[in-house]
This record gives sequence, C-alpha cells and structure tokens, in this order.
Amino acid sequence: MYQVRLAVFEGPLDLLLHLIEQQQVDIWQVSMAEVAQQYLDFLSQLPAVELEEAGEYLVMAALLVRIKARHLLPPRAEETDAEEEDEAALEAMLLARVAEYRRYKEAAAALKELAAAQALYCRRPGRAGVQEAPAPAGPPPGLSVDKLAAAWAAVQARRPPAPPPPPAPRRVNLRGAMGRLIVALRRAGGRLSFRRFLSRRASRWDWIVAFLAVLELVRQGRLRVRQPAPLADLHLELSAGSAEAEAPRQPG
Amino acid sequence: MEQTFIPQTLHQLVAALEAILFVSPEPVAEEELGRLTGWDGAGVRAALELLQERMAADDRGLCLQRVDGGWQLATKPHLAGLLAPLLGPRPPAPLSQAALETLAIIAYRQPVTRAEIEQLRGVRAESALQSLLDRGLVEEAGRADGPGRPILYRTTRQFLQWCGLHSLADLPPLPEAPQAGPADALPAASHGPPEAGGPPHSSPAEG
Repeated sequence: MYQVRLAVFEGPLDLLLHLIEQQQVDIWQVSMAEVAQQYLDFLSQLPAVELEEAGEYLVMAALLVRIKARHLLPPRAEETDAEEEDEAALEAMLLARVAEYRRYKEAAAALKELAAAQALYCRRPGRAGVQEAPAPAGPPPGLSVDKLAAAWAAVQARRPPAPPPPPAPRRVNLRGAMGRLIVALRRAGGRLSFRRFLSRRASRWDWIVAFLAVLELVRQGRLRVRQPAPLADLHLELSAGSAEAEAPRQPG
Repeated sequence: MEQTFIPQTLHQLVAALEAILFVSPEPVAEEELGRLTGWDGAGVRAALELLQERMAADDRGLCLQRVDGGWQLATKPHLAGLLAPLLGPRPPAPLSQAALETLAIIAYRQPVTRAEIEQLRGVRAESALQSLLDRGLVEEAGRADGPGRPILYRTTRQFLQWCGLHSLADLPPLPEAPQAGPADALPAASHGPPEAGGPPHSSPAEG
C-alpha cells in the first residue's frame, strides 16, 4: 500500500476509507488510533512535491493526530467528562463523514454502470448530443509532428522580425575610471572641469563611467563637486586631505 | 399545400409514432405524442406497446426507450459495437472519478451547494463541477438563503438521458450508511499503548 501515490485517492476521506476498509471490520469498530497512524505514515513517505498540492490531506492529518493522541495518552486528571465527550464526538463525526462519503462513492459507481449500459443505445448522430464533452479530449485525428511544425513555421513567417537583442552588459571598471580622474585632477592642480575631462574621453560609455567615478569619489569624500547652474558644467575639486597626495586608495 | 395526415387506425398511429420518434432530437412525452397525432393517452400507450412488440423481433435493429419523461428510438444495445465507427471521431472522454462522485451527490441531494458537496467529499469541487456543467449534466438552480447566497445545483434532463432514467424517482436507492452502534454511544478511547494492560476508559453514552 505504501507504494501507492496520492493521485490514486480522491481526497483524504477516500484515503481514510481505504485504510478503514483494509481493517475489514465494521466502520464503527475500527481502531482509529491505528488508522490515524497509517494515514500519517502514508503522508510522511510521500515526496515533498506531492504534499505541497495536498492541503486537504494535511488538514485531515492534524485532526487524526488529535484523535490518535486521545487514544495514546492517559486521561488527564483535570479533564472533565464533557471534554472527554467532545474528543469522542470528534472521532464519531469523522467516522460519520467517512461513512457518508462511502455512500456517494458507491452511488457514483452505480451511476457509471447505468451510463455505460445506456451508452449502448445509440441515437441518430447529428442530433443534439446527449453528452457533448468540451473539445480537448485529445488532438484532432490525422495530426502529425510535421503538420505542427509547418503550422508553427507559418506563424513565425507572419510575425515581424524580432528586434535585435540588447547588447550584452559591459563590465564597468570603476576603479580604473576613478584612478584616471584622480590623476587628471592632480595634474590639473586639484581642480578640473568635468566637461574638459569628458572631452578627452572617446565614447558615451566612457562618459557614463566617468560620471559614476565622480559619484563614487564624492561618496567617499575624496571629491567635491560644484555646479553653478542647472545643466552647467561640473567643477570637480579634490577634497582637502592628505590621502589624495598619495596613490589612489582602493575603492571601498 | 401539404395535407396533414391524421392517423385513423391503431396501425396508422403506430406508423406515425415511429416517424415522430425517428426525427425527434429529444425524448417525446406521451402528452406531446397525443397532441401531435390527435389521439388520447390510452390510444398512444396502446400504439407504443404495439410498436415495442414489433421492434422486439430479431430482424429489427431499433428499440423504444422510456427516458427523461418521454419516449425515444434507439439502437439495440448489442449492435453498439457495429456502429462505433459511424458515431464520430472519438467518444467523449469519460467522466473522472471526482466528477462521478460529485454528480452522485448532486443527483441524490439536489438542490445542493458547492460547499455541501465539498463537505461530503472532503476536497474542493470546483473543477469537477465545471466539468459537469460543461457536459450539461448539471445546471444552476437558483440560490440558497443564508450568507453569501450560494448557488444551488441540480441535474439536468440530459443527465436522465445520459444514464437512461425516466425520472429522478428511478434513481437506484442510495446505499445505507452503517449505523453507529450501540445507539448513540461514542467511540471509546483506548488510553495507553495497546500492549499496556488495564481496561479501556469508556465514555458515558449520550442520554
């Protein structure tokens, strides 16, 4: 039994019914402690992915743990008769639910047989179908892989060409950029126009990297920036501090 | 201008009924057969019986079925295998076990809400219900009173035709649930592990 997967059962009541019927006694004589244990054992040996889809099974497991506990633990001194009856009632209600479920499970089997017998009586085709199942019970006849591939190719041909993929991200050598900026600043006596600095840089990419270098240096407190007016040039100035007289620090 | 042929004799009535039932897409009630032919209930019933007798012969391939509150022509069941290639590319997919159990609950307890179905089956009923709705075997039947005014479901006429029943009264009786016995006693708790000695702690029976 433990090799069987959850998919075989229609739900926790179905599983419980199966375990109870295995005991081959009247449902009200069954050992619920044993059934509870078997149910929990069954769940515990299922792979985790099946359990994730089985919330109802876990809810039932919690109830069964409670029922099992009642059978295993000695009665508490302070437990009243009313509490004991409540616990017993829980178990009775569960058994009643399983018994009730079984009625409909058997009724379903009877309906299935009735329908199978009736299916042999054929009506003229083209009439309102007795049972018009929704379309996807299977692929249309005569479908082959080649046809599918041809259909896909036709769809692809009709589509506009895909845009070119965006360029792969480039690595930014921020340290290098910061170093070059510091060198340029020192050569310029500690002050430099950012536009001037950029004019020596070849591409927009370099400009962006240079700007990032400015931001990082400002963040590190090694650089001060003034911008006299919106969208005006940036005036860069090495911060007063002995560190900049040395070789550039490693960026933080 | 076509003349409407009114069957004058029982034999003519038999022929008329056979023709009517041949073209009807749905089972036809006796009252309707009477209305169409101008005959009363007794005459229609007599003609149907005669028709049924004639069709019982070995050299007839059709039979009369009493289904869904009316009568229909159908092929005799032993011929079904022969007819399979003619009846469509593939039979509709059979109902899942979940749909069957849901259908049984609706059939015996209609009208019934989705919550009641879920309580009885212990699992969610949404997809099974949708499958049954798609196949026309169940339909909505108004709403229940109470919070949320949930939708009620019942079986359809197509359900009767699907399982060959004349009416819901012809459903086979629902299997009995075994009674808890002795009456009203609650299951005793067997405190302590099985191998420990000592009598089980029994709870008092409900008054």
